[in-house]
Amino acid sequence: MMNHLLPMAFKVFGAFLAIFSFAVVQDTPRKYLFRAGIVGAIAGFVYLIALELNAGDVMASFLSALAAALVSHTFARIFKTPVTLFLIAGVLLIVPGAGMYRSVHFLLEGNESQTAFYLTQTIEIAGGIALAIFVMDTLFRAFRKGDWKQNSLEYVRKPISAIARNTGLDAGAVLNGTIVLDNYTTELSEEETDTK
Amino acid sequence: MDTQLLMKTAMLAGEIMLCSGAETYRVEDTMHHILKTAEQLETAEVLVLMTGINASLKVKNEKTVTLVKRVGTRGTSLSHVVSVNDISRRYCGGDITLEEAYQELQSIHKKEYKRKEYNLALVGICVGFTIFFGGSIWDIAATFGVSMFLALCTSAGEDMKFNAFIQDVFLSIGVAFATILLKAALGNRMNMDTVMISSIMPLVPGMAITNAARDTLQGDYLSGAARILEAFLKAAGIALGIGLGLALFSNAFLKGGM
Repeated sequence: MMNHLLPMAFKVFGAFLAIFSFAVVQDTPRKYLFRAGIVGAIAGFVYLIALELNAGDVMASFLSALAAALVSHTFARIFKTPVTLFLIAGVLLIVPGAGMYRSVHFLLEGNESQTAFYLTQTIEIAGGIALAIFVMDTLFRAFRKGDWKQNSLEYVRKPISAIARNTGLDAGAVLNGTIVLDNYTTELSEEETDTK
Repeated sequence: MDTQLLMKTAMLAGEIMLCSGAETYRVEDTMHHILKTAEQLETAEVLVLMTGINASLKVKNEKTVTLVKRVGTRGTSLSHVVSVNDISRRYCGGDITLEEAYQELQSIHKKEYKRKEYNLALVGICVGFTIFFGGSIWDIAATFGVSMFLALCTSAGEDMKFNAFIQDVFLSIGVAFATILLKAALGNRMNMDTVMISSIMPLVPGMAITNAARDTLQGDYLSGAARILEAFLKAAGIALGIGLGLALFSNAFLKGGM
């Protein structure tokens, strides 16, 4: 295991460099570049560990995407930014570029069994990534109702005061979350105000 | 409150986000938040598709305002998404007025990075992936060369205003060409697969796959399906380019074909 450690650290650094640079290409704001790189490094680390444990390409990709999505959602809540910022960068590491290339390569060589193998693997990995994103999105949606919400304080309370100011209504009447605008009633429930 | 201006602000925010690669549900959500700040609101509806935006606003004692916006070119600029998100939050939170929000939205134009930085980042992606895939020193050096050529091709393609699909084909032919040329020069010291796979990584449809998954999960099947199609088309373009490049150049430069 020890003689694996140094090359692995180097590979994780490679993942960091790749994702950091990819974040630049995606025009990510400068202050989030390093964090996007961290997401990439973690995704890369999980991928390499999974391969080390003989999980297979597809499973390793799924676990890596799962880790990337978990860290992205966590970062998005800590730094109060859209999840996309980290998620697109973090997931890129395992997008099946190799599979795409190899299927074309073997197609040109006329090796049909290899082509089919790599084509299937490519689709499996892409599906795995989608599934991982699904799982994490769903898990974090469950969190939304709990304490750990994205931007919970600013985003839920301020609109009420703002609407009170704009409409000239009594702020106290608005504070309990229900605003009556003539015959139209808006429930400012957490459902509506916190879908970001 | 000026209904027209509110509508214009919401539409501008939505347009910028959609053009910058935000998920459709996020665009709908942001626009809805902005429209909901209208005084004496009766209804506010927003429908966002990948290629356009519809929004409709009804305020008491006024006629319904409806705007349709066709969105043409879509690129990726996450800094724009973050800026719009920030402006909409501050506006909905009551920190800035509608006029200020509209002006700030109008001032979102320029990209965060210069072309030099962008090209350097392309090289960084390719080299990073070579390291990640366990390439040797020679592979890293070769990828460095190939990715510089890729950056050159990217600039050239942008100047010639290729459409997205042709650009992908063009770039991956360029990658195949440069890789085969270096393979011919370096011989067995370089692993062609590693170099070529690393060099096409900046082109692969990572964003399309991610957004397709998230849009589909949100129930936006139209946008989800459109994005899946986008991902397939991008993948097909890259495969086509690599295939063409390999077929054209490997016989010319490499002894014994591939």
